Amino acid sequence: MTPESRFAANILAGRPMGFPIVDCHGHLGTFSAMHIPFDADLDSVLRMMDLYGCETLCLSHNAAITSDAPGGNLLACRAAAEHPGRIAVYLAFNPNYPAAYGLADIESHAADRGVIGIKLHTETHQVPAADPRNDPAYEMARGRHWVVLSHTWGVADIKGMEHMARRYPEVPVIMGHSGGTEFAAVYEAIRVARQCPNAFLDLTLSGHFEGLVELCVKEAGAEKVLFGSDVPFLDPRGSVGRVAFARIPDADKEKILGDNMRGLLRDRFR
Amino acid sequence: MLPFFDAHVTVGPRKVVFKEQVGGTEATFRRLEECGIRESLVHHTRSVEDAPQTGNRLLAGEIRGRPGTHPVWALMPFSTGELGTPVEVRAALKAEGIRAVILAPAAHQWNNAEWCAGDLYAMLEAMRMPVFVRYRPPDYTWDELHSLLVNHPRLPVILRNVHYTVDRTLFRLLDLCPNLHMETSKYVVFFGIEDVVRRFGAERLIFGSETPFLSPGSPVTALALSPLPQGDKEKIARGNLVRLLEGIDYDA
Repeated sequence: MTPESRFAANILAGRPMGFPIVDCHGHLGTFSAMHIPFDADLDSVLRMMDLYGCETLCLSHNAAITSDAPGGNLLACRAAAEHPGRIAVYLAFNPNYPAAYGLADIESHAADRGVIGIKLHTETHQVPAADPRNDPAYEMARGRHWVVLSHTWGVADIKGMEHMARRYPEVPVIMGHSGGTEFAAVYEAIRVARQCPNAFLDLTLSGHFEGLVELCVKEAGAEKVLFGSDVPFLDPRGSVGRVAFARIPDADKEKILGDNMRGLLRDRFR
Repeated sequence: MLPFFDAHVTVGPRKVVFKEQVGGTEATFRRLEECGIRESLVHHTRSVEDAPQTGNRLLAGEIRGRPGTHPVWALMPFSTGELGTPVEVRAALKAEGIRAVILAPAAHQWNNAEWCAGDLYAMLEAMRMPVFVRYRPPDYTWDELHSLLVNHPRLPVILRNVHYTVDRTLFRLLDLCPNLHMETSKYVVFFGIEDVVRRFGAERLIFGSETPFLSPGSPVTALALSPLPQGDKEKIARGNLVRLLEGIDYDA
């Protein structure tokens, strides 16, 4: 059987994807809990971007989402400066520190080339999605017309993101991982994406559940679904395949793989 | 186009399913074909989620007459005789043309130590029967898996559900135990396939998708977009599994 999708057909034929992907969720650098080949350095990530046809990768540095937000943010901005157009940056905000400390760091990079928003990590920083300590980050995002990408894992995180999306309707909020591997959380994320105009689903997930892409499109609309890979935490090629072979029209795949995020980056990505 | 032979396909109902997942045997094999997968090792969900004898019996009815499918049974120690005596089990494996087996000690509640399962391991080792296991406790801890591999060095063991955070332990085990292989459906380490090939050669990787639970397009794409030499990709896609299956000796 010949795949009806040109994306699937290209992959099976060993041809390039033939479409400029925008990946809404990536990183750089080493991490405590796993071996990452090449120490996940910038060169290796760029090589991988070429393999999976990624035009622009929106990333935060792993140091920034763990213990060293200023150090990681600096490295991410350097990468974006060295590779304009290919690397976009979420500046990480660690709500455990006094707000003024984190905001000053973010402010210092606000005009840097490639900065598009703020990254929050509910798990590594152990601060719930709707915790008031996150408010300054959202205020900053609203003032600068940035997006917010937050890690979400479980129903509570999704409900927290819904709360923030409704409080800050001007801020596009990306629900990282769309709730994770718990099916109930994924269904909840889909509901939030459907009900909140500024909330988006992110397909980043290590478990490539069959039918997930189709379900997101069917219940939230292709316009609310963003391709994310978690590169280099994860290998992005499998994530691409999940979309390329999904049982949805190629027009929807184009939205997911790049056009939706390109729309969010417009006017934000210099 | 790579000749994909999928080592991880199931038929039958599951306890927990995701909305929109492909339903039924016909849909599963149609989906595999859409993703360029023409051959597969198949087990019945109820051979793990129910007693092995129940699921094993149901499997033949699901795949009989379907080209490119090869049956996989779940087995367990001979202590209760639910699957028969060792002689009967061996004869049944041959009669049904079983090409690999699953050992699921956690689901079936048996102890995986030699004193309990050693005669089963010895029989499978003599037959060179490929065996699928999972490392996560309580199936096999890393120490228990190491014991199995070392005590039965001619038993081809294929590790399933290989998570992206286990390299620091897994690589030492691959180093120590040449009879260890790994299936690719959940191995999503950044440049992971290339890294394993560089360290251990292409022979240790076995293509699998876990269809219909996971998307078969994912591992297909991961391998298709790899810069590895075509020969290595073909080994991973099909050749390594064929080599293991050709090594089975039902009469040993």
